[in-house]
Amino acid sequence: MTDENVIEVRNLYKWFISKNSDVLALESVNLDIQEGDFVSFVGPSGCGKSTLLNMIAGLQMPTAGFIRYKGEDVREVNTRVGYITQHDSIFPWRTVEANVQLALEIKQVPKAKRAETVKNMISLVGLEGFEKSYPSQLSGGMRKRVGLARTLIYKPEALLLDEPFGALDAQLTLTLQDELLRIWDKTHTTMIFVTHDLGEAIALSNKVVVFTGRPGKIKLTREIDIPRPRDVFRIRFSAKFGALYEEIWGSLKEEVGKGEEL
Amino acid sequence: MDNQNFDPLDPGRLRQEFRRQIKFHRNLVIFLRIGVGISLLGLWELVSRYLIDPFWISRPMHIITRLWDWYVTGFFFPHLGATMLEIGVGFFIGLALAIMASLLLGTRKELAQVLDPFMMAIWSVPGIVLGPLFILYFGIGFTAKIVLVAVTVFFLIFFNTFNGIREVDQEWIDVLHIMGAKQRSIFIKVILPASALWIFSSFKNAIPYSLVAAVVGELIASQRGIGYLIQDASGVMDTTGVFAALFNLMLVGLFLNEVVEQAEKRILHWRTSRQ
Amino acid sequence: METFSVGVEKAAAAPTDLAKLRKSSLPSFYQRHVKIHLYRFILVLFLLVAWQVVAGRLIPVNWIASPLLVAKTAWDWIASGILFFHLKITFIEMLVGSLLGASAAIATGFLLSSSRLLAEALLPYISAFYGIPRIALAPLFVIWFGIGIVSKIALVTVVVFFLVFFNAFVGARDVDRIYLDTMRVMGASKWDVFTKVTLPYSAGWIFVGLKFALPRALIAAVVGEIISSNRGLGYLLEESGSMFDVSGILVAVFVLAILGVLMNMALNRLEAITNRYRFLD
Repeated sequence: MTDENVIEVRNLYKWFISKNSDVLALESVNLDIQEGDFVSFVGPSGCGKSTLLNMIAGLQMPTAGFIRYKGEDVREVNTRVGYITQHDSIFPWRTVEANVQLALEIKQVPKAKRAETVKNMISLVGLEGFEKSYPSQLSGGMRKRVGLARTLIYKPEALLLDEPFGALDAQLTLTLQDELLRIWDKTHTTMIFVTHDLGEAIALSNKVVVFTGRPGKIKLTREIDIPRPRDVFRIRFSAKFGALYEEIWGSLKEEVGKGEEL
Repeated sequence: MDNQNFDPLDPGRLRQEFRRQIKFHRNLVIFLRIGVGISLLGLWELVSRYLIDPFWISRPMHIITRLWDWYVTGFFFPHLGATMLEIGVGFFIGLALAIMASLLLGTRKELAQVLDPFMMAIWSVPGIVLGPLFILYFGIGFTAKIVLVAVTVFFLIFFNTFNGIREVDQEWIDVLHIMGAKQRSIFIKVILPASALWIFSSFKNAIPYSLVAAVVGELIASQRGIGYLIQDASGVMDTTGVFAALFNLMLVGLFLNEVVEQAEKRILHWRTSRQ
Repeated sequence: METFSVGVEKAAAAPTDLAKLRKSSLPSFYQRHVKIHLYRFILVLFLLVAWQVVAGRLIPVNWIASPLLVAKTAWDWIASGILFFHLKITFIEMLVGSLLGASAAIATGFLLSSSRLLAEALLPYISAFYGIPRIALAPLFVIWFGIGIVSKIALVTVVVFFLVFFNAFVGARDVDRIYLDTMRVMGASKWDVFTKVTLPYSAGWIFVGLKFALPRALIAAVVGEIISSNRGLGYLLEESGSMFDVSGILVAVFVLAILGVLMNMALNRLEAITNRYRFLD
């Protein structure tokens, strides 16, 4: 792990202007993310975490300030990152197989080479046997896994995940968290993970960034020095986890109390 | 953002910019609309002068002249009246019959079930195809067209309402039964309001279709009406006349659409407060 | 031992009771089902008989024909090949027109959906054209193309175009943002987005439009023929009318009804199959 900043956010402001309202989503955000970091953004709903993610991906532009990715300003869509959205974005008209190989098609990887990679990726996320199924035939958790596979397959330099496990039940979430960590342990891809679940943030990441309610500012940044590899199923029972949780929750709780739901 | 006077906490400048963009866009659209209209007419005019004989495609100037002629001499209005009469009378007759029939049949569940496939079969035949039959029966006067419109409207409204009433939640009716309500009050409290909704929503479709039915009837055989004007002009290869009549037809169509939309707004206004 | 035998007796009694119970409820459902079909059959029979009796006695045959007359005419038409000859013409008009109209609609719809500005600019003109009943254009096409098959194909093309265009346009325009964003972050080209997202996404919409348009294509062809032609199902209908042959009209109407039902059935079946691909719920 080098000490280079992969992503630099400086003095970032984001306004949303519409016919009836002006909304300041993010205010004065300053952030550094290094190569191989697993960073979590936590904060109440509407605090701009997703917006920040969008801007790192280049889907939206800041109103003031800038974002640098590996030294270059992000002025257009950032194709060097992978983006896993909150809501299902896998294509309902494609099979699991076809969905997973989407990126390879776009990057024009020759057909012969695709098959093997796709097969490996599908087994990595545990969907063997469902290659020819359509999303409408899959459960929510399985669709999430397809989304994961689809993004990981082209080995993006960094991964942006927007509440990827939000809509799933606790057991499934733990399983997928475990898989995510397994993958991260192997690849050490820089990850930015947005979640409203503080426990999840602490369990997975090595740095937690707490945002205030709207307008979103960074309230607190905390290194998570729990050693790896981590066992997501048991980590919540460790003392270290508990202590960190208490500490950060204190900060987070104030924001939640300000009227935004968690 | 590289000028330093910009205070990132003040949205004022951004708002100004936003407003400016909206205004610009709006004006651009208006400009384009007018531009497109003028260019198309101009192009038409040019093509008809130098490329294609106006026999085939007429010419804006000719059409405008013809329209002017029609309006000023009053030639057009009896024909407009004829078509509107056919639509109006036919629509109301069809509506009345549809309401009666659906209330009568919709409540008798067994009768409805028995008649179901027949309804489907009749539904598959579009009323307008019966045009020649009605003209055979009633001649080429108003009656045939009125019947044609009435039949078209009837099937549209009846079919929708009939099915709608049948689907009125049996639960509601059962609940009322348990409460001791008599058949009559069930009818008034549940069936009538439900059917009113269905009837109105099929209105929206029925009105454009009545125009189609009236015009088709006139195209097949008539002596009056906008459809007659189209057919008559076509018979003597008078392209200008055809376009002029089509233009008027377009106006009538737009007018009817507007009427429906306005009516819907009124009724919906009542509905949203109810919901 | 005794308790056991009593138990066995009781056990033996139970299934019979259950069977009796089942039997007592079954007949009533079964009965109703049969009763309804019986009623339908009787109704049809009654109507046909009444019709046959009334024709010629109470109401002149010229006016309402009779079941036998209709059957005879139908038989004549089928045997002599007249029906199939004219039916073929109508089908050709319908199919060729639908193909042309749908292709044009999809192409135009996609084109217009790519420029929001253009679409807004053209909106009032499009609305104005939608206000004209397409069938009213039939006489114009007769001037341009004569009374032959071409003018009917043109009419069907226009009818199908208007019905499919809107769907193609909306389908392409309203592609879920999330799919587009996903593609962009993966570095997809505009062509990629079009072929991999816009096309499949709008296919659903277009299919709905087609499902609606095809039956109307048939009607348009027939009505076009009624208005003026020398061939086709509509021509048969119109000719019968002018010859005061009500049975002919009824045969044509009947054939049209059957075609309509078959087409709807086929389209519904097709829709059920393709639903799987459409939306995630």
